[in-house]
Amino acid sequence: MSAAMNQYLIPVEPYYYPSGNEVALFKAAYGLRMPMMLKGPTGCGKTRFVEYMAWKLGRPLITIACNEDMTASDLVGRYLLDASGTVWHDGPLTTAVRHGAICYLDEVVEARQDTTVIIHPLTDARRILPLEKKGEVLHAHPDFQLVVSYNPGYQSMTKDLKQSTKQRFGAIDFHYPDGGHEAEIVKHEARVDVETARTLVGIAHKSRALKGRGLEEGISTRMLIYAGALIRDGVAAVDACRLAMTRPITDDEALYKALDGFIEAHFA
Amino acid sequence: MSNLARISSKPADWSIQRAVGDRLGDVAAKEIGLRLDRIAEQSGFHVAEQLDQALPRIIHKDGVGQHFRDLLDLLEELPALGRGEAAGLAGSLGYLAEHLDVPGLRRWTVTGLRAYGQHPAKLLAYFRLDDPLAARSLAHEQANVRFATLHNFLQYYVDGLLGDHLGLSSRGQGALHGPPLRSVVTEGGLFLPEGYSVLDGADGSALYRAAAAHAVAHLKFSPQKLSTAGLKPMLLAVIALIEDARVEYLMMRKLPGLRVLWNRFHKASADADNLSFAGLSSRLALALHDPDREDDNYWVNKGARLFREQLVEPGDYAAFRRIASILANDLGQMRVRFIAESYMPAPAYRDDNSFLWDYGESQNPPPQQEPLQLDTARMERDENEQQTGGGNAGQAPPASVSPLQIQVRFEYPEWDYQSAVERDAWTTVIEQPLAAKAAMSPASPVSAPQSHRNLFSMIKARQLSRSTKLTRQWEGEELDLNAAVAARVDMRSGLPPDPRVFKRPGRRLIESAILVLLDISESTNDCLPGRFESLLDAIKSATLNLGTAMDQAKQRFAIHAFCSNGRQEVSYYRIKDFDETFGAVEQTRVRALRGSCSTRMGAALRHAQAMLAEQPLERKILLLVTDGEPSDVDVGDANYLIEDTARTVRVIHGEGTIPFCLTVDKKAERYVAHIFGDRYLLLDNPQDLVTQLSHVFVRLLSR
Repeated sequence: MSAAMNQYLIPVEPYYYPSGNEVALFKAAYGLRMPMMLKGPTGCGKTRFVEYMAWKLGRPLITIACNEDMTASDLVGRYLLDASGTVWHDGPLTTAVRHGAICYLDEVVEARQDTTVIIHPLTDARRILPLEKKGEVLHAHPDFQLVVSYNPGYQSMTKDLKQSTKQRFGAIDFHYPDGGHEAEIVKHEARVDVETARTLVGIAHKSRALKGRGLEEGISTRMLIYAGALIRDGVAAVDACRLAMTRPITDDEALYKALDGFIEAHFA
Repeated sequence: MSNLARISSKPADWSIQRAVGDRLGDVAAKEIGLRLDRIAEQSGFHVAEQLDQALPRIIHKDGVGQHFRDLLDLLEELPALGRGEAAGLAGSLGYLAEHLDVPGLRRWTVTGLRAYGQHPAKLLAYFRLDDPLAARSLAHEQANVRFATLHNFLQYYVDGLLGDHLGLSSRGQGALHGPPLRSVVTEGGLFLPEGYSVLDGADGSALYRAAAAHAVAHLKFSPQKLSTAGLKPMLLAVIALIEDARVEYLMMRKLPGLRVLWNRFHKASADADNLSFAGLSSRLALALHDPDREDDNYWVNKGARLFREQLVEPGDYAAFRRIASILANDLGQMRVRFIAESYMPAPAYRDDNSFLWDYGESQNPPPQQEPLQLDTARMERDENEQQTGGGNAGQAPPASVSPLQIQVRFEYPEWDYQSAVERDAWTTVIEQPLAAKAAMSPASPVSAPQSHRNLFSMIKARQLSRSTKLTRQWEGEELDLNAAVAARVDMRSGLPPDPRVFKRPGRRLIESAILVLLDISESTNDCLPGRFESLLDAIKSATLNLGTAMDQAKQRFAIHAFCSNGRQEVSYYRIKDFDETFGAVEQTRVRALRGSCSTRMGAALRHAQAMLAEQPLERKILLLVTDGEPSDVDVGDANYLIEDTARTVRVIHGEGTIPFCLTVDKKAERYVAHIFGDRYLLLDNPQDLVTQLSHVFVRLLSR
């Protein structure tokens, strides 16, 4: 592995609490270098899981947050001008393919469909990345794997992956961990006592009951960790919950009043 | 009879009649005069005269709409007060009506009666605004913390606490002298008071939260509909009191914050140091709720001790019921009287406990009154519509369509899932003719589409995305010559050039055709909970709002509606076609829609798709607005039409049209996902229809 790739290695074990057999499944998929799709609501631990697996497999991890304005060149690379002429610069995807990293496209539906099709030749038996502008066909490093994440509930009306893209991936479903596990995660990550963690999880459960009835998504595990950390640092519990949980999630006054009601009900 | 004679001889006896006559016509003016006559007879001429002077100010402020009628109804109840009190109230009416709306005014009056019902002098001072409570109550009502303003919030709160959907409605105070309002819990919904009085608690919003949380506690932990046979009213009340404390205890184990919330209302009601049933029971309620509370009454302490000892096993309902029997027995021996008619559980956030009992046929649970009120309201409205010519022949149910008018018939297949056969030409869609322009009643002014401009600019903004070429890009299909020259210049001068020398096309403007298909089956005539407006009214105003906005945005759209009466008669109304503008005629057609018959969705969707398919535009959207599952008179199997609709939707989608369903059926989850996949939105509150419909559009168009 080249020295430049060292910066993409995960140095210490990221905290990850498995909620099922996803670690074993992912390991098996990596054995086949099968492209993987991680589906699940925002803030439920998809990115953390990829980091954990990259660490466990000892592979560098290159993460790309997808957005609507991202073009194929942003992934593959481009010629840039300098004083002496043109110079080719590899994009993050090309770097991963060349050096055998795990390439993680976060929120892949956010990218435009004409961008996502460039991953097609990489994600079937060919495992090649044609660099059209450079006139090079790059054969993937044997350790390279492509992982994408995708939130089926979020804006699923307006954005969706093409079937031809979807069918190239294996998929693992992620959900918010069940109550006990989630409290354990919040306790560990936010370093709060288990009682506080359980209370935060209780509030989140109430909010998740409102999904599809006003809320697009319930309160995520990530938000609970933020709130927990604020409480640990001495912020009053109710204020911390408002700041980290109810205010960011909605602008609808009736909704956040209801969410505040859940906070009120949970804290003695 | 004598009244009538007097009115006809002196038609403008009261000055209010002149003020109203111009706006409501002579009939209404006469009615108001008649009512004032009656008040004059029963409460004194002086009272009626004062009212006569106050009313024009109210009309000036609020107009002569529903609230004015409500006010007159309230005045009808004045004779229930004494003559002096009625005069006192009449004198303050002008001032009060300037600060309160009619429901608030009524609650203000009721608050006075509840506080000072036994003290005529104090009551008079209250009505004359000389009592401090009068000012507090006025401020409380002005704050406008009511069910109507909190509805959305409470809906979310209850759904979240319960983890499931529960319908919420309001209930109003019946007679002026009636017992205080309590919420009513049923399995199908929760009825909350339309407003709490200042006597119930100063913080109205917290009181509603407390009431909602208490109701959820019952729904989660209480046994329901136990037989009351052989149980004395006092025993029922004590059992319910113990049960209230038990379910609250169970609820507080998970949600400790509720202790503080509920506790706020206990203090207020347990201060009374009396030995009546109401006094003792509210003291017991507080002692059960607050373990640190010491009471000096032996019975209260005994109840609290027994209750606390049993809390090691809070799930054992029977054991708590035994405690209640012991306590009720003690009360009997203490000769404490129990008056069932006036007793209401304290504190105010608790419900009337009818949830617990099955009274048999002797007593009706209270909420049944409300649908009756709504029905009469609807009948009145229907009459009004007929008077104004709203119910037009063009939109009348199929049965009354004149045979002379031309109907166009179309036949469509239908899917029979049980035999897995598509039956050819199984349904007949009949395009009902719309009335000619001349027959239309003149358009009433557009009903204030306030979100109009907003929506209009939203749709515009989404469509006018970057349709021109983008210059100075990192890459693109062609060189941006200006940028390229500048870059060469930089390079010649030895400066680092700006590498963004390309042009690329921005996003293309995609043209869409939208067909809005309205379900106008009979059930859309049902009134929205707590409102004098039917679902169809809400659909109409949303459609008008949206149609005008889309018309202004030059969006290509059509509005159609359907209802069905068996497979041979699926009526289809083309209210606005793609090639028509959304002008006065089309708007009148929307207003004139009337709900009738059933919902055979599949056939109507097929017909809509046939028309949409002819549109030459790139993207087609079929939006169905409905209130329930597909059903028809000639179909017994509930799944039959659901399966047919699901198949139709798949076909439509396969043909490149995007189907989307907006439904207000709270139980729709069972079937709507099966039919529409993830392309649906479930509306909990139909009053949101206008906003939600526009949001759906913006989302569909921005795709």
